Amino acid sequence: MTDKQSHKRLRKELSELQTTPMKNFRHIIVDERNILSWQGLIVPDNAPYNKGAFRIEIVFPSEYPFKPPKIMFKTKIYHPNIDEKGQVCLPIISAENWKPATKTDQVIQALVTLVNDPEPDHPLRADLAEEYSKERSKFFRNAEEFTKRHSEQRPSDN
Amino acid sequence: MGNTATKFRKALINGDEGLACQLYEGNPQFKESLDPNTSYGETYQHNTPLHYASRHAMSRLLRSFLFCKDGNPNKRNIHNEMALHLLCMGPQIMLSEGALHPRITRPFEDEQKRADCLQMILKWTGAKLDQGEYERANINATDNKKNTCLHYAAASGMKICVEFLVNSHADLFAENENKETPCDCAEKLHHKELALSLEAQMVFSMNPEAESIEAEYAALHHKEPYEGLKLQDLRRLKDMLIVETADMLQAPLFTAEALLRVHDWDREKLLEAWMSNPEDCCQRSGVHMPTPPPSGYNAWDTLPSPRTPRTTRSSVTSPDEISLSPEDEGIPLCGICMCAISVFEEPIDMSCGHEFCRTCWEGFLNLKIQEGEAHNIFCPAYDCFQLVPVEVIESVVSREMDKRYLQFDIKAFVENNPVIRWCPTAGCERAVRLIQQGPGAITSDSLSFPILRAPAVDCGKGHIFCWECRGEAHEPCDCQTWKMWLQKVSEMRPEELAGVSEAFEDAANCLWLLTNSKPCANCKSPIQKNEGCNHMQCAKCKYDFCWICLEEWKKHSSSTGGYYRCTRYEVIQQVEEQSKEMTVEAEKKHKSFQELDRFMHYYTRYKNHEHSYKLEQRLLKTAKEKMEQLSKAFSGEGAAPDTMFIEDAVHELLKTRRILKCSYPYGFFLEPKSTKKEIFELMQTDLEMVTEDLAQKVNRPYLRTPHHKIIRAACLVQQKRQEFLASVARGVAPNDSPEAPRRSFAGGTWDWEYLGFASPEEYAEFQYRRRHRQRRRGDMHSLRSSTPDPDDPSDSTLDALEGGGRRHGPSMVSSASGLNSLDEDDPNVLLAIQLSLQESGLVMSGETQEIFSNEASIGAIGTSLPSRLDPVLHSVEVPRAALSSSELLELGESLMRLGNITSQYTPEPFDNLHPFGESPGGIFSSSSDTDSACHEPSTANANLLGNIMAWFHDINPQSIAFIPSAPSDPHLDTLADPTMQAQMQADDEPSAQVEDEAGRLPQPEAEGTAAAGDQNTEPEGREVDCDADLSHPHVLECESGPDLQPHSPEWEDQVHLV
Repeated sequence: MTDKQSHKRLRKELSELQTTPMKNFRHIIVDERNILSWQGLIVPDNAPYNKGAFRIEIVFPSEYPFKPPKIMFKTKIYHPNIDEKGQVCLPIISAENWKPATKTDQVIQALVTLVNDPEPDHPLRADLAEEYSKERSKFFRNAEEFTKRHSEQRPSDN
Repeated sequence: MGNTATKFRKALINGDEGLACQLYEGNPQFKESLDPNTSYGETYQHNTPLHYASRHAMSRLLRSFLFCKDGNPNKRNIHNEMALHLLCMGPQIMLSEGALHPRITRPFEDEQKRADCLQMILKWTGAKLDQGEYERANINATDNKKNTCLHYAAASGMKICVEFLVNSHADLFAENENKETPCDCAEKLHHKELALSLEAQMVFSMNPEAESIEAEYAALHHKEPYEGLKLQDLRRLKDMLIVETADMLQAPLFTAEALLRVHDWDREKLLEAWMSNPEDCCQRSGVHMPTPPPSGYNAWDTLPSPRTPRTTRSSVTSPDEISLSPEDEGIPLCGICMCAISVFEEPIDMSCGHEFCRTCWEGFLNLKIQEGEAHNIFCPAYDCFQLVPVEVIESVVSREMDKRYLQFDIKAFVENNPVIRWCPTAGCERAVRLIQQGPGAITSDSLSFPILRAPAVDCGKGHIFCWECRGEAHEPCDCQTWKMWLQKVSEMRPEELAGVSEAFEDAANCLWLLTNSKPCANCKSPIQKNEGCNHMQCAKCKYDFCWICLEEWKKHSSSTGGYYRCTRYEVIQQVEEQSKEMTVEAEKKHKSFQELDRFMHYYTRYKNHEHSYKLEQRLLKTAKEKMEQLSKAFSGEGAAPDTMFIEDAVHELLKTRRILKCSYPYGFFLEPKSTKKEIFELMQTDLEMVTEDLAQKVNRPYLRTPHHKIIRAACLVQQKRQEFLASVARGVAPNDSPEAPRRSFAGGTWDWEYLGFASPEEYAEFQYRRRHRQRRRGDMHSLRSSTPDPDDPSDSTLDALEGGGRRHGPSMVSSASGLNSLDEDDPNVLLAIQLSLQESGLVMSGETQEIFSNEASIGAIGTSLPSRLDPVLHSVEVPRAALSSSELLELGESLMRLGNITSQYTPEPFDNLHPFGESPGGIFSSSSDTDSACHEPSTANANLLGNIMAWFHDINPQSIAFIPSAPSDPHLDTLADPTMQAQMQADDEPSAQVEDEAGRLPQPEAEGTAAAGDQNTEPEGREVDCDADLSHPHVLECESGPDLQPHSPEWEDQVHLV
């Protein structure tokens, strides 16, 4: 039952996203056979990430929406809150805080906000957080450099 | 005529009723002249016709004797037997030497006949007595063997007779010379049923005293600092807490629950937080701030309260609903499955207005409950932190899930609640609540006791565990001490040390020998030299040698040229070196054995209690069964009396046993020779005694103690146990910090105050036993000085005094009236008076002094004691007025004795003034202690004061409460007491001082006794006692002190002298 429920809800959410696309989450790719796994491009607005796009994967559990989805960065990113493996620490989708009524667009929105404005207080990469806090310009240079080197092409139709 | 009389007598003796009657009735003249009260003389053991008639249950004759001829059944024969005794002996028993051979008729008929006769005798009335009553047959009279008629009736198994006697209030507890009760007699002669019935009546016997005790018991009961809780209790407790809090905060139940949860279910804590910031309080708890309900309307009755009406649904906007309303407007969408909520579904209302379909709610809640997250489920809407009310949960989830929810809910309640803990026993679903000691929260006495850090608690199912570590219960030890003890036990492996005391003795003896003797150079036998020259001969091998160098004596002659060369330094040095090494070795060994012995002392006692505990555990079952049997036997078909008391008593016994057991590890780790330890051991002894008393009453196959006595014993144990624990919780002695004793006095509620006894007998017994025990204990010798004399029978007086002195003010009345019953110069009483008078010690009344100035002897002696007595009289004017002159006289007399006692301080020789040959040691020391106690009021001496007082609690606990921080009494300065002076010099070392003093005290006593040439052997015995102790002050603390003295005879045998 929950299985079906999750599919139903995801289909709805997907169609909604397709009818009213988000500015910062583009190129959503969903495998027809497995609606529980989504991919898409995060397009941040703020420097130093506004020069590229970042591919993420969202994996929904079968108990969705009662259990939260997981988000992984497929594109390498120089960010205090995202580690080298692409894991991201997003409170809204932590098991304790998860609310079933939370929509994926809200999750993405929270993610984009985090990418735009790193939270050095809850870092996943302490070194970057320190650099971000103490030597902001250096951090920006490095991040920009990193983005240029690793990030994907931003969708042109912006 | 004479012929008739002889025939009649023969018929009587042979039990031939027919013939006897014929003779009696057939000869009016004989009948007229016969006096049934006249003894037949010594040949017939002074039996009267009435005796014989009773013996053979000749009812016709008996009737005539009793009611026509003024026969008196209270007449006694040579064995002091009365008619009743003979009647109740029944046909089978031969008791007195053949004089009364009964003719055995058919047993049942005989019994019936005897019952009839018995009734007759019981109905008999004689001459009118002074009080306007008539003389009756003395049912409890005893014969020379101290048997009552009930003893005989029970022994002969005559049920009907026994019943009659019991109904006529025959004494069930009377003991004959073999210390047997009627019940014992029945048991002995295999009248099982009768014995059971008698036993039941003994146990359930009622008297007015019993009722009051039972009432007291009911009031006393269940005063434990903890409470075992069933699941239902937990739920009730939780609900109650919530309802009360909701009431107090004027908030809905749900809000109150949330608030309590966040504040650890501690109402005080919540209130504090609430007072400072209610809004913040609610926010942290996930609830809305309650808005006060309209006055006069209880809006909080229904939950959830500030409910959004259904009609305003569309006006409620939640972020998700805005973004997701592509379809039909107005139809609510479920925020989870994003489908329209069916209009046929019963809506689920949340105070936040978020709506979800039932299916999604259920899915959501089930998952949460399964995760065990029962206590804070928030609304599933994004960014909404409204708690889901229990009602919603209950209405949505399945019954099974709900049950689970409730379980989790209670689990969360217990786990978040610091005063409730689960019983650690596997499978036990109970919990225990520790009753907090909030100031003013609990007024009941026993609960105002301080609680130990690691108390033992019982979940109510007999699972006793330590509150702190949840392991095996080990109070009064804390967890750390307990661990240390277990470690010690595992280190020492006492089970392998069974023969340790022997080994220890060996080591001790070895040490003594090494320091006091030398081995024979030839045969190695130890030799002690106590006189004579250095030429020694071994008594064993006859070897001649020199004591100094241990060389052969031959070498010491002038012929060898080395005569007495051995007195020179080098030679001695060499010898001493050798022996020193050996001594060191032996000392080492001795020391380790000493430690081992100390351990074994505690360990064996610890084990003993454990063993007793195991044995007594069986009582839970057997005693209960037995009691039920008795209860049934007692009531027949009617309502059986309550048997709970025996279970309670056994539980109490077990509880206390456990504490006693663990008190030994506690004692083991106490600092040796400290006052704290001494006090602790005293209390331990106290507790042990009452416990053994209870054990004796309960732990026997055959109960013969009336149940109120069992109850009382149990109560006493309970009381003592609580006091003991409270005292340990307070750190035992008030000598650790100089402030402690002061505080205790000021509060007036330290434990000694509770050491009262339930009854005079209890106290007497207790004291008696304690004395005997202390005699045995070497380490207690310092206490002996304050131990009351064993001969004094005035415990009841003391008890009365205690009872009266319990409280200040009006109760002093009874204390004062207790004075007039002073008939003994019991040091206890004196002390009690003295101490309790300190309170008002400064108040002087000329009027009362007058009274005492009449007592010339007192004035002459001039001690301060009598004058210190008067304030009590002064302070209690009402009773004084009520004192009759004879009472005053008595009072005066006791005061005189006081004077006599104190006269020992004066240097003049001890004279025979001492009225009861009482050992003066107790008085001497106690008085002087008291003097010093009140003499030194400075804070520097507070320690000392505390120590001394602590000892005194033992003598009279109540009096302690009265000790004020009083300034010195000028009268005391007149006392020329050496110990006191010594004391004044040594304020800085209080405990050592006290010991020193205690050790010194018996000496003057012994001298005094010797000087007086007192014939009483009792003080003599004491003198020896004390001397033995004094000569070995180093073993003061060690129970096995006497063992240390290496005077074992076999060694002495080997010590020979030339």
